[in-house]
Amino acid sequence: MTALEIKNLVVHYETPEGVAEAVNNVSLSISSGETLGLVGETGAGKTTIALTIMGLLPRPAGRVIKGEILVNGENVVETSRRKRKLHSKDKMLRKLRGSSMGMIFQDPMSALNPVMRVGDQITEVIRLHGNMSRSQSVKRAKEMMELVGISSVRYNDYPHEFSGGMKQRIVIAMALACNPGVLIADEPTTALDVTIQAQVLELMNELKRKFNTALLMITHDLGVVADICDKCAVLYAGEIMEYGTVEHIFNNPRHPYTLALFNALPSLDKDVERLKSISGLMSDNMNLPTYCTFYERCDKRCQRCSEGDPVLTQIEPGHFVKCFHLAQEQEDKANTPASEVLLNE
Amino acid sequence: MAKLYTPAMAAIDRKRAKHKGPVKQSTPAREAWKRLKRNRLAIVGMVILILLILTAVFADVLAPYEFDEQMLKERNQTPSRAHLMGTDNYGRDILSRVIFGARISLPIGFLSVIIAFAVGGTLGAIAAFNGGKVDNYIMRIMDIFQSIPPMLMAIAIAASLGNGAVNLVLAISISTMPARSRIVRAAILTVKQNDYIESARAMGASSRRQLIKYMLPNAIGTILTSFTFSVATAILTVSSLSYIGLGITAPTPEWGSMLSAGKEFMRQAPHVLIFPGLMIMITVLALNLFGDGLRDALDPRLQ
Repeated sequence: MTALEIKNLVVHYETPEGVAEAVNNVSLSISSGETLGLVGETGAGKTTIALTIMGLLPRPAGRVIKGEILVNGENVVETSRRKRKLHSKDKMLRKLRGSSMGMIFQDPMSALNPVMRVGDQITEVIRLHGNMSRSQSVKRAKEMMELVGISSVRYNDYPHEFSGGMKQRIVIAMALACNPGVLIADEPTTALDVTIQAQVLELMNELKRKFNTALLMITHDLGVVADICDKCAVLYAGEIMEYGTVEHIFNNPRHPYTLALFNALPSLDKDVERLKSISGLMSDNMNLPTYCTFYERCDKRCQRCSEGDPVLTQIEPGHFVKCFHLAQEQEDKANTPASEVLLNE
Repeated sequence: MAKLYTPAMAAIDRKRAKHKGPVKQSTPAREAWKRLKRNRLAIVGMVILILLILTAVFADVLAPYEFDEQMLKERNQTPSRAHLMGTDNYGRDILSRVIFGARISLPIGFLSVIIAFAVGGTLGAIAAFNGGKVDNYIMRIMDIFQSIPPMLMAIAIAASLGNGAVNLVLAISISTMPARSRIVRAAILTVKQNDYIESARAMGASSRRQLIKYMLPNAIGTILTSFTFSVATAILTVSSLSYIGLGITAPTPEWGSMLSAGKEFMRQAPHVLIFPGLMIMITVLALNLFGDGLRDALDPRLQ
């Protein structure tokens, strides 16, 4: 069952300096119990996608220009600028947040209210959505704490009495307390050290399976993707460059950008002086080119790349790449626009 | 599932729970109290403040004479055993008047600040929370209020409403309200940027809940501190207004009006003026010391 579906999402930030095109025509879908990794460098639009799903885009700057996001079949975005419409959407979103979709934030140190007992913070989510009595909610919160590996003895402790990894587990417990169908994790392990990272990832994977949650994992760590994701989308300048199962992306990466990303990874068996980098900078999303956004940095660029913008094309079942060169190769095969294939999946 | 919570850990926790038992929990308030206790000056301020409040409460027990008891034979006497602070030009015992004066100055000071914070603070919080147009409208109105110097405004209000404690409270609270709303607005704006507010939104908390349960408790440090300082200023304002005859009328003792009455005899009997002045000074000093300590204690970064 598809738990989260994003269709042709376009998000702009309207600032005094100009319009920043943060997300351009992104389509994704995640089924229950599945994990999709969203990778990309800083500014690629990963967090904007997460915030749009939760309806937390900063207002009035952030605006959804077009597209749909379906959470359990319900559209959660409002493209209209009308106040009243936004307001009614807000009310609906408030019910969905926490109950149908949960979010894990990047920095556990600051994601918990410092003046509230951690147990109460978990109870609060349950009270907001769960239709449970106070004592039942407390019981459920304690269960959640045990589930993420923190003794319920510590229900009455304050966030400053926990370590970073434990705080992140509390945040996970909060996000999962009402058993949401969709869980969005925005770089959940970036602020943690490596051993704790592994623990937290394993925990998330475990809980995802237990609750059959669709997990959107936002990260810039390819190792994390390889570890727990089923599918992966490589984002660049607000567009999906390559999309497929983890096997597709890791065993058979095709897009020049994905290849460059893998090249930039340090290798364990080779001794190199300097790590490889991708030359140049990501194109300014206030001023995106009309041609391929990766053109300036691509080592395979040709005349055609500077003339038109390629579309996401399926090159093998379930594996999509947004590049002319690969589309060319596959010309006789499938060159149906990606969004259609995706939706028919 | 990964054995994150091992039996050994569970055993430790159980032991801990058993031994600790009803051990006092470390709450933010308790931590703050611990830090406050370390600050001697703040404790001195707090003790003086408590003594002053007790004085006001038990004024009739403590005062040796009635505040309006005139002993015309003993006018303008210097301090003696019978009159520890001497007497004024009507032969009234100054000590008794100072003690009863605490009943006027302190409640008016506290009450006016409470009202100013309740009204101004609420407006400031609403402005900060909503931002945009709402913020603009509220704060521009406050700006208009603030364009009149608070002292002048207090004088104008007190003069038009007439004398009396209630009018005095109104005058002070209205004139200081814009400044208080700014303080609360600034505090909420700072807290609003924190991740846990976004996290509260992400779990579906309503606006009111975000404001009351998440923002206010985190902003309370700043607000509480400026509260104590404001009380000090308010007491000074009461005294000033009384001094120019707009506050409390005779024979009710008020420190400011006692000062004002004493100024005529400043040369012959300076004690008439010195003691109430001293009381104002001590009260303001105590409030400032306590407020200062409170600010440090409530800021967990200043360990």
